[in-house]
Amino acid sequence: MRRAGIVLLLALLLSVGAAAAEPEGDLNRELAGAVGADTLESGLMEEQQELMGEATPTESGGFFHTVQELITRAVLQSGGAWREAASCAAMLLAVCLACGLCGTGAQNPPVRAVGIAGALGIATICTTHVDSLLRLGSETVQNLSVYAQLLLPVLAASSAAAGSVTGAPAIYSITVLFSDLLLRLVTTGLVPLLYSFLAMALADCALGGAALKRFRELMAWVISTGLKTVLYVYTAFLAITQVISGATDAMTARAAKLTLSSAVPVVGGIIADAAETVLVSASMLRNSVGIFGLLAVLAVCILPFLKITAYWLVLRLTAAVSGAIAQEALVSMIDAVAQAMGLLLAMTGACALLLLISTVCSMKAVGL
Amino acid sequence: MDTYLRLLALVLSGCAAALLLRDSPFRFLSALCCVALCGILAAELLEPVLDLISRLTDMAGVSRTVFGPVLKATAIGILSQLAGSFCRDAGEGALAGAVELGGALAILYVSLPLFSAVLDLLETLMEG
Repeated sequence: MRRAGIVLLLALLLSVGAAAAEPEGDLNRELAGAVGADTLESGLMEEQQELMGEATPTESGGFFHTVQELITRAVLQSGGAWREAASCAAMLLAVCLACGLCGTGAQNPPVRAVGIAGALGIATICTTHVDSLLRLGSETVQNLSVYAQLLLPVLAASSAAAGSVTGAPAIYSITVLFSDLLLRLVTTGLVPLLYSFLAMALADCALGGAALKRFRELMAWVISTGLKTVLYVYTAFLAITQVISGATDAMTARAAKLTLSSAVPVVGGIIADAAETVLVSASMLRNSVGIFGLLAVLAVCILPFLKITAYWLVLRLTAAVSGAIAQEALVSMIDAVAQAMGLLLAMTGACALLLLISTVCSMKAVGL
Repeated sequence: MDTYLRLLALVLSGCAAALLLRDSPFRFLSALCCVALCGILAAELLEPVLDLISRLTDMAGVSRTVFGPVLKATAIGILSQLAGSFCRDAGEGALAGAVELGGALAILYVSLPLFSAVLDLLETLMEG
């Protein structure tokens, strides 16, 4: 009887509810605040935010659908660039047609002098446009670099929170190093080289001679090889880092989980599962931050890209059409300007690609 | 096509007249007249080309300060070549060279505004 009474009393005492602590807010939002994901949206300019539509750093919506919308909006906004390029092409065709009246085959002094006048006319028409595009390209590279300073720490933090403890800082430091290197290379080395390329093209057109042409081709080779080398070395570094740190991070996470579940009696397994839940949330945040980062990089560079592409394509077409009516020197001058636009595209594209690769690698980093 | 056939007929007639007047002092004059008539006929063909060029410049919306020197240079180039050919036909190679050199210098002279424009732009680029 006494025993029954004690058991009943114990049962009454132990029937009080055992409530766990309520979370203060959404785990995803808390993690996003901790890694600074909200700064990613405010780091974009207004026109770039308009291109992004309703994408946010904390919610990963349909990626391809958003990309499609971004590209559509950008194409609609780039109509003015095509009109400017077309008017430049019309002027160049008019100069080629006028100079072609003097004849295209003979190389006597008057024909060569008309060629020089035509080259000067083309240089005058193109220089204003090319200068504004070169400044636009440099500005875009600077903007990408500035946005990288916002994006990379957030990606690294969210990646580390998702369990990529070794990989995230490694990817971050390599990307910062190469991004800075590429920015300096482009602004202090390649853009001035591009101006020299155009000056050489004008001199080649006016004076002729194989030496100037070869020197010009050398400059174009230096620019394209410089960009390719930086990207190849960066990709190689990233691949090696991912292989090494990926395995380390996966084993570290697994070891931590096993330690938790075996070292803590009774509730070890529950704690390990709860920790895994946090890692999964962090992983989801990393993916949504990564997707937003990809879209943001596209938004930063797509309008300048389309503008430079418009001029590049239109100048290529103009060179092809004027080949039938103009002197060889004038056609090669227009070709050189088109080639300069292509090299400028390559520079801007290289900087954007570096950031895109880094973002994708951070998203793919092995944590769990 | 019609105009070109007339031009062709005129040139062939001029060649025939030059052969007939081989040793005559009027050979040079007949060639000159033939070229002048060809020039008048060629102006008919040139008119649509100049209209197209004018249309292109209007489409581009660029002022004539760039395009004017180019047209003048072309005109001087064509006239210099013609004059040089005449001189060679008359057996005066030195005069032909002189007129072509003069034409080249005149073209460079009318292109001076373009030189200045390019230099101004280069100065702006270097300062920027």
